[in-house]
Amino acid sequence: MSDDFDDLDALAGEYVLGTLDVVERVAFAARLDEDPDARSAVAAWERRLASLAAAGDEVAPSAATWTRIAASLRAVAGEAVDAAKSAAWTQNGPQRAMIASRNRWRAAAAASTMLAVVALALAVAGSHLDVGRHPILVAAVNRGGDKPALMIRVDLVTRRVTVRPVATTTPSGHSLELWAVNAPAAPRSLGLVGTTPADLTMPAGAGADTTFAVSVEPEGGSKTGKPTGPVVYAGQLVED
Amino acid sequence: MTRDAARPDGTDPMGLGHTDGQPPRRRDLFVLATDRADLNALLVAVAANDGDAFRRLYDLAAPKLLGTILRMLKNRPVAEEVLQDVFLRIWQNARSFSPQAAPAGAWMNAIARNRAIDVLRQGRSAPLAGATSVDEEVDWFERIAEDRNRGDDMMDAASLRHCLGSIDPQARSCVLLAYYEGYSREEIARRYDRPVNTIKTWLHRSLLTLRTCLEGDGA
Repeated sequence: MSDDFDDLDALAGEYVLGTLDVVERVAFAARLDEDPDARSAVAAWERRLASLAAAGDEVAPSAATWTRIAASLRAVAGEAVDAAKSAAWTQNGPQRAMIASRNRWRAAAAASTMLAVVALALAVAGSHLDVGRHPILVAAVNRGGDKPALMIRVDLVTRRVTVRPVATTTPSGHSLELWAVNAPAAPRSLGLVGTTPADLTMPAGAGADTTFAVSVEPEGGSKTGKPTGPVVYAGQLVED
Repeated sequence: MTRDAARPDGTDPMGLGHTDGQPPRRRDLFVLATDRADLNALLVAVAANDGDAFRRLYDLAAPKLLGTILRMLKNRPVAEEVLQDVFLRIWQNARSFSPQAAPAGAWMNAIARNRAIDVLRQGRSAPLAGATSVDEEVDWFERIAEDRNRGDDMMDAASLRHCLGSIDPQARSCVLLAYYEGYSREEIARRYDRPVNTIKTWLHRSLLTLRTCLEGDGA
């Protein structure tokens, strides 16, 4: 776009509107965790558009929805009390228990609904692989909280990408496909994710700021050259 | 749009009867100054693990948020599941809420819209047949223009209306369909029978116009 409308502001605006496609959206959400400028740009768009909310209708929820929320609260509060009683929580009991409660809630929130969309937590990976002289970047690609589904190791000089599946789950009759995402450019496929480690080549234009995303595709991979299925894992590179 | 006499004013945690089948009501929950103060105070209390405040916050805010989510997903059971998830997130993230950064209504609305869009883009919700008739279309710009915002938001709303009015009508409706109904670029492209890249250009141009116009007005 024009000089005074940079890519970040356009991305942030489209993120807030909701018009980014699934891979762009997941990649931008991952960037928000890392990039304060991106967070400011999103906050500015939220502010600009905030008064639109007033024009919407209200719809009273069914009583069952609050019942389910309250049940989740109670379940987690119970667990937190148990945690507080255990030896691990004897110091600073109440405060720690509260933190435990929130963390457990985080887990419960993810587990409580089939709709929990991939969380984009990025684990800083302590890789013990041979680093050599080259700057090596790694991404632990996961769905937040779990152990990484996939470790990706990139040598920016040789542009070699090593993909090591750790705990990926492939739905039957489908394939998992790995994408390099550098919005606003279209995502590029690196290939399918199997059960064994694979050596791949970084696509042109990909670099330290690339986000990796894994989507569920028809068996053999996307037929369109673009991700078509839901993104199940994503992560960004960090320096090893 | 008058203030509903039956609404809770902070002393009636169960006041909003959660009866189904009521026609949707329009009520500018997010703009009345008293509501804003209520919601902000409740959310601050929720951050301190106050379960009663959480229930009252739910009673006050859930109908507006469900309206937002349902408008985008057009599937009631999925919308209620998303609402549940949104309130779990509100509880979980309440400590990051800062009334100086954004009022509680806007903060919660952003969470609800984000969750609804995530679900839409992941393709996990299909509109229920007959949930809304296809031709029952809302002219959102007209709706915004009718809306009589009051309180602190009045100036913001007037500026935004003015700036939206300066965008070409077709490009403007792309922005509003995306914001209100969760349309993707592809869906907008099909609707207007244009290439997706054209829609992307319209969206970017509209956003740039809005930003320039709002910053000019707001300075």
